[in-house]
Amino acid sequence: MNDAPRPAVQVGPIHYQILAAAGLTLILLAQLDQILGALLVVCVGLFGLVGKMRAAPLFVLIAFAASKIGNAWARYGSFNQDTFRPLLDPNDLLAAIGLVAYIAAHFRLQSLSIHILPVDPRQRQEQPLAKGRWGHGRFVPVQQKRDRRLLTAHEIARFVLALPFWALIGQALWLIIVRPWTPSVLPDRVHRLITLAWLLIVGTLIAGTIFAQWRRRQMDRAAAQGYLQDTLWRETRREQRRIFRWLTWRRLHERTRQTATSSPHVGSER
Amino acid sequence: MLTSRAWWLLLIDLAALVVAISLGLGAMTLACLAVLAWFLGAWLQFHWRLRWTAKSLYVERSLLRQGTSVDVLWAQSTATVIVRLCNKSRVSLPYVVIVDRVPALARLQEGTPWQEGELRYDAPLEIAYQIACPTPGRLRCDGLKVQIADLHGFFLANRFIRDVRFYRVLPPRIDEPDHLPTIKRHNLLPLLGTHRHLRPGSGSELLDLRDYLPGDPPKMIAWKASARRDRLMTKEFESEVPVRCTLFVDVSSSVRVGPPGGNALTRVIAIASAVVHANAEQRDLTGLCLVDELAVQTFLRPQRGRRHVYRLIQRLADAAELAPVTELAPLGRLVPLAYGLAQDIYPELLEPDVNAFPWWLPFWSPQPIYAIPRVHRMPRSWLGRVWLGFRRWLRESPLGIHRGRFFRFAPGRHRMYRLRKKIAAILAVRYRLGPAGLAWLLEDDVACSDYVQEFLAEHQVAAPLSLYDEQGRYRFGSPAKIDRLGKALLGSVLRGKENELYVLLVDLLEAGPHLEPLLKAVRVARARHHQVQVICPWPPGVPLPGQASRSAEAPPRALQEFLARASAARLQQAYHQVQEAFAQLGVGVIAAPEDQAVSLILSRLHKLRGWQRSIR
Repeated sequence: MNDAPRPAVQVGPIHYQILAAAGLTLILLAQLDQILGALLVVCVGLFGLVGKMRAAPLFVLIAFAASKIGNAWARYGSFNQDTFRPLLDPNDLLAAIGLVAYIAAHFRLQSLSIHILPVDPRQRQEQPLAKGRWGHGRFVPVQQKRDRRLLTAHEIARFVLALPFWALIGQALWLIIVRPWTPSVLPDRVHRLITLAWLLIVGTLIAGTIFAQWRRRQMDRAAAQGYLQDTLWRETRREQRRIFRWLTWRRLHERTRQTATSSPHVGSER
Repeated sequence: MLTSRAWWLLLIDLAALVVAISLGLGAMTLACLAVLAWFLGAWLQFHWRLRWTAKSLYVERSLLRQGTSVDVLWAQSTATVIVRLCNKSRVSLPYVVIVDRVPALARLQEGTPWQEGELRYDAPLEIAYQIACPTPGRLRCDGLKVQIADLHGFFLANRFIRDVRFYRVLPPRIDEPDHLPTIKRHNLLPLLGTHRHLRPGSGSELLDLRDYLPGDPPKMIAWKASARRDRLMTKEFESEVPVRCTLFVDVSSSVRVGPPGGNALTRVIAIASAVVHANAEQRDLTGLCLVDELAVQTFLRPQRGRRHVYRLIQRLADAAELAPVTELAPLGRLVPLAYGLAQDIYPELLEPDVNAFPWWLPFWSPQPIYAIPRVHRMPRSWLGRVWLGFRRWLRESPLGIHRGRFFRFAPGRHRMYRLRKKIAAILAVRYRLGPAGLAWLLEDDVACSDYVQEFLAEHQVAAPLSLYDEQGRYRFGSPAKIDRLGKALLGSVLRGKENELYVLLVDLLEAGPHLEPLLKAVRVARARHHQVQVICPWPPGVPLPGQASRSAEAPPRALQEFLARASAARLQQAYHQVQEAFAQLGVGVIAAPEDQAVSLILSRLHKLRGWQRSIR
């Protein structure tokens, strides 16, 4: 623990559990007209929360998608027409906020209860045997969990305040994606998929390039030297390989000849 | 880097998003976009924080002994290590794990060398733990391993904040019963030459009476003895000459074999340190000569004084951490070890854009068999020779069949090739081998082995070395050190004055039968009336010469016991040979086991000074 002053308000993992449950509640309230689907999502979510399932957020996402698909099929009988939604539907926004709240809270809970860092197979600890059993315990990888005492009220508050922000960002992205193309060459859905792909690829390329360039500018001398050396090796490895293999062969050949001269029982196999 | 948790979420969300858009489900699309936006926002935030604080992190380290910050420790003492990771930037990191590598020569006693938490400008992360230093040497602290993650466990960045520091651990000061007490009873320094050296000189103790010779000063005439004998007698006094002791310490690879702190070199250093302290108590002059198979590493002339004693002790402490070096060590065991070390200490040099390895390269161009050093003993049996001939025919025929053909399909070879390339890149940068250094280390096994051993030795990691080569010869005999030692001793004798004592702390048991250069130098030393003492470090657990173990009479039950007995017999035989060789010159050889070494040697040295002849 560091020397930070202890917060006045003590928080714990229970707060993230409450937030996750609140997320499920929002999903339920937002989909009262699709009660079966909402109940499916809520049940999966509660089961994952209580049972501490690692894949619970993914199952909730899948259940949410399944409920929407099922509802659209039940209502329209096919997927040929788009489900009409106004520009800013409070129910949809609430559902989105609830989904993000549950997924984010659950992953933060997993950091506290299961592990926050990926398991390093090199670090192992002996797992003691159960009472009454003899022998040595087996060595299992160490799971690095986040300490509960590191939770602060400030962190919970920031988490809650940021939730609507992501839903609004999603809404903004939706507005960009559904903008019709002129002229319209392909079906609207294909246009939307292309727009989504374009947004994601270009966006991540730009951000990735900025961060990569930033990182290169912060490289120390050794890393920069390694970078240049690796570039040179990639460009000229064929010639270097040929040269150094022959040089190595020659060195080994001379060494073997010297060894054979000094000891008659030693030969070389080349 | 993205963790598996992040990849799964991204995959499922993108799949759901694509399905939502394809099926025209607006609400589902909005929800998936919100999740995606949240994920990308977390990704941007994490990387921005990482980049912003990359140059702002620094380490503060201190070693405390009894509340005081120290730079030097004594062996067999404890100290508290306090390490702090500080952040100069106002941008905080929400979750950081710092791990400090406990130095190789230290043992963790209390506390844990890691810490986790948020790293802020006004709240550094601190680690405090207690270590014990059982053996002398140098503690190397490379820095702090830092793992930065977000609060969801999606992103991880491994860093190493470098802050290389060295702390000397000096050999302990040992008080032995045969030794002068270290508690001063009177506020007086011991007189010079407090040991008896029975030669006439200008001291104050009467040595002998002799006949008067013309020219003797009148004040030296013993009037009473002259009156009794009715002829003039002159008094002769003892010479108060301090002993000049030079320690010749063997630091060759033969004594370095073993784990750091647990090898023969550590024992030899402890004995040398005790002798230095004992001589300092007697106010005798002490010198030091460190010899290995290549050259004389250090030579300090015999001198007196506290500063000189500390200089000797520091040189001994620096020599204690040396690691054995052999010409060709098995790369298959060294490279994975070096890679594991590099993952902890040089993670920035293993990044994909700095140190990449094309996965198809081992298929395209594996290491050819002609570039791999192999030496085979010619088979003695006719069947073995026939088989060797057949293999040669297969290799040289148009078929060209040899085991190298299958290298490109062996997963083990691929892995080794990948690790070796990454390590070669780091070594080429670290040791400034030039632009072609990487390719050179990738193709030349001998060079790669040398540099990997140096890399591991520099970071005080014990490398697994095979003790015997392909021909069954012991690799670490270091016979060349005998010649170096002989020359160094001869040079010291030629420069020496009177009353010199030469203590040779050298492993002669594995050096082989050719001791002539050393014997020649010892012969010259004895001819000049100097004293020589040879001390051979004796391996722990092996019965001393003349001592039979209790179970020696019973037949060995296991192969390991059989090998241990054979090894003990070989060592005892070698010791007897060495003893015989030096006994002809009147030089004693002591086998120094761990528990009795210091007291045994100090008592022998006192005898050499004639201490036990005098009665005080």
